[in-house]
Amino acid sequence: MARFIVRRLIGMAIVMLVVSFLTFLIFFKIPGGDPADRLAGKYATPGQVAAVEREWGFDKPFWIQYGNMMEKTFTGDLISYTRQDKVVERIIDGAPRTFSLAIGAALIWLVLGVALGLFSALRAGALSDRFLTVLALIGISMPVFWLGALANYYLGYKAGLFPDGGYVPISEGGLWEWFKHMILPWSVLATLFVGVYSRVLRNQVLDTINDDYVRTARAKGISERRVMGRHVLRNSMIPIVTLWGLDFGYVLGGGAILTETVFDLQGVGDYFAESIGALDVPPVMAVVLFGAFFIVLLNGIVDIVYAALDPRIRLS
Amino acid sequence: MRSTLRTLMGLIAVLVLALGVAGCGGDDGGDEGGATGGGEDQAAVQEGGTATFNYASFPDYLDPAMSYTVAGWQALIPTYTPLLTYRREAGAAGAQLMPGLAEAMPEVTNGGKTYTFKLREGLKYSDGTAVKASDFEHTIKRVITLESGGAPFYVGAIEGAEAYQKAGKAKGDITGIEADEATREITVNLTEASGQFPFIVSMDFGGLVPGDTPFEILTKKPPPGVGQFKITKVEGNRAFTLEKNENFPEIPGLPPAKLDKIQINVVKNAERQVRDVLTNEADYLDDPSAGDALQEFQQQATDRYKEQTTNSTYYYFLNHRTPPFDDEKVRQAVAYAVDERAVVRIYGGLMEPGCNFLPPGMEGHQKVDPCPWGDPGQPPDLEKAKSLIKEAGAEGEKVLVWGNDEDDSRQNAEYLASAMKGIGLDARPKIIEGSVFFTTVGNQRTKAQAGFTNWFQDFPHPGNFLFLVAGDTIQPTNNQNFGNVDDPEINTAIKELNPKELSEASDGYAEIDRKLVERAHVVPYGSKKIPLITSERIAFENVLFHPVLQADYTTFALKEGEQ
Repeated sequence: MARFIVRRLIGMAIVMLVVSFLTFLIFFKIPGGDPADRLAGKYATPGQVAAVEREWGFDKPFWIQYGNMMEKTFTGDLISYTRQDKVVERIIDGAPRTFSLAIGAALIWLVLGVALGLFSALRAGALSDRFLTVLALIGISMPVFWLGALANYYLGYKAGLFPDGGYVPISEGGLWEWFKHMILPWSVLATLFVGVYSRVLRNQVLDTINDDYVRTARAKGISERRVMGRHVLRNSMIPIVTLWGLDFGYVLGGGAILTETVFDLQGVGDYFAESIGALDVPPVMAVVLFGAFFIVLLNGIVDIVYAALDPRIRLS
Repeated sequence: MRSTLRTLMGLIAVLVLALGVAGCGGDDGGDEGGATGGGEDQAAVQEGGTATFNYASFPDYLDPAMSYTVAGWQALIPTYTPLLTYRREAGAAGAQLMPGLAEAMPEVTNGGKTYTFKLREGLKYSDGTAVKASDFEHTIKRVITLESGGAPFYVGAIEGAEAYQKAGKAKGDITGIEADEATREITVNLTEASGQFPFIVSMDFGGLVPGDTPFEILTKKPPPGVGQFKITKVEGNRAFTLEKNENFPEIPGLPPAKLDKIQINVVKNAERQVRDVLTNEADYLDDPSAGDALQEFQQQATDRYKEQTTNSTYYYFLNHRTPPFDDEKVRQAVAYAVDERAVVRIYGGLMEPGCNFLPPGMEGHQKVDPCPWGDPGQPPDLEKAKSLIKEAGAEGEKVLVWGNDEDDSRQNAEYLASAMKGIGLDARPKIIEGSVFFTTVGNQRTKAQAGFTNWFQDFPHPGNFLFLVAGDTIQPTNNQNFGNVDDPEINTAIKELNPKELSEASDGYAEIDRKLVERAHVVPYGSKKIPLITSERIAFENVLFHPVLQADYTTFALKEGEQ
């Protein structure tokens, strides 16, 4: 296990290195994006621009600039071109909001996706299965920005059932206020994933349910509940775990930009969108690394869970 | 100031005009800058209480040396008072200067090159420390050392400021500023006489801060100031708090704040920003954008909705150095083709159509009536435009219309391209990223033929607009005269008028304005209107919407009985 974890950690580091390098390359090469000019401000004299170039190493080869940027990222000294504030502080500030959204939504879509997928599979072909299939397709087809705007307007503003956006930290408004503000964002973000997960699991269960080992288990007289739980569901969960790891990592890393924007959560995703809009390279770099970290981390965890679900997969 | 970039551009060019100007005073200005609030039918209000304001985004900075946006200034103006300020009145009177921390208007000597201010006695910052005459020099040094967007106003204008900047030593000396602590006198020597200098002093960059304020951007912990409010809490980039400053002295014309506290929250969702005010969850929204929610507000809460026309000009530039716009007939054809009614629709009605270059609230504005290119409220004369294009032999000429990816700019570029197509030019829009737009079209190598642009006043002086069309401000890069307008007659008139007091020069500026329009040097189409909305808790009729400073936070008050 230790060797496995070490291997995964090295893999993570390599992936993050490649991601950071590619991001830096893309933004370094954008037209009109001279970083020294941007950092020095609109009315800087040539001398001031030159000073910024020296300080940040922009007059040095590409790989040294890349090294400088990485050093500043990991020491927390990375500064936004547009606002001149510390990027890492902004990410730390927004992270609780993004985590609140990601963790709650991921739990909802996992639990509901699995429950509805299993229910659908057990009643394959029945009216309830068809109904759930239609519901799932609707959920998959509805864009988050549209569904979010509708939910905000009708359930939040018009009906007053929920707050129509915003975020209240537990430390300020207490658990209930935090929970109330998160219900709509969780539900809207989870809707898309519930549809996908339930469809994937339904099909996986239907594929597995007639496999030889399942028939063998039944022939041995094992109860149906045990057959479904220990043999069918356990094996059908492997693609779900893979998907969940990727999706959860993505949302945790600030990928739910639209949901954060529609519900005015002002988390890491929102910061990312703001920085992209301003072509502000340092925060874009840092948020991409932040997101990549969670995707790689969740993938590592998924690998471990694989082994627990399927003993045929050896960690070594 | 460019609304789209938020950080303002072209200030060096302003200084080109500001310098070489003789005369003094300049405390007269504006003709009908604002019509909202402040004065008529004041409602009964209570002293104290807390209000919540929504901002669409966090101000650029909460440091008077750095902030250069409307949102920033609205919060900082009642927090940091400069030596001079504007009368807190609506309409033309609001554009007139009055003493702020200075005891009186400055004494101007040495042919307009020396300004002497005297500080009021017993002034204290919000933290209780005494205000010293030498703090003014420190305040200006911070603006220069921090490379603020406001630095070009002072560098070059004040003797020794450029040398101070070049030396790069924060604690160095600006030789042109002398302070006498005993007499509380501050003497400022200018490199050349400047009638615009009093307006520059009244900008919030000059809001005094203590002499030991560090040379660093202090948004997270703003320095103490002398204002009706003080900033007491800054929460990341999403909220900050203004609290009543109990140390604010009695200054005639600057009444103390009515509210005890203003909590300012960033709410990015455009619909929610407005709805919060409609439902009284927030009490005010800074600069609401047009949309369904604002329309709903207008319909449901007419008694707390007003629009104010800002001192801004929205116009299309046509590059005089690039075909086909080097031909006056083609420029006239475009002026004929633009349908102001369509442009107003782009702004959801928040645009006051007009064909003047100087905005309605500016001294020197005299409505060009009738507009030479047709009534802005009527359909355009396309036949006339087409015939002019034919006469110029410009049919089928290729034109790129430049705009950026921000809301109104993109739609404007697309509209202008379609209007040009309609009269026989082969035009198409060229949309680029907002943060590089003005530097790109301001680079002569780009040869931008036509495009969208706008300007918001920094201070109510025509010079703050006319530098955009003065031939001597044309530069190879960072050019703000995007159309390369270089009319010798207009250039001379601008130079001749600059030294004069505004009241004397008003007709002259109106004449320049008329020539700019009649010669189709630019195609202005209007001035932006800003809606003012408040919750039911606020005494709406008491709120002063100032022609220069916009919403005056010190006039916000809760109605009697509101908690």
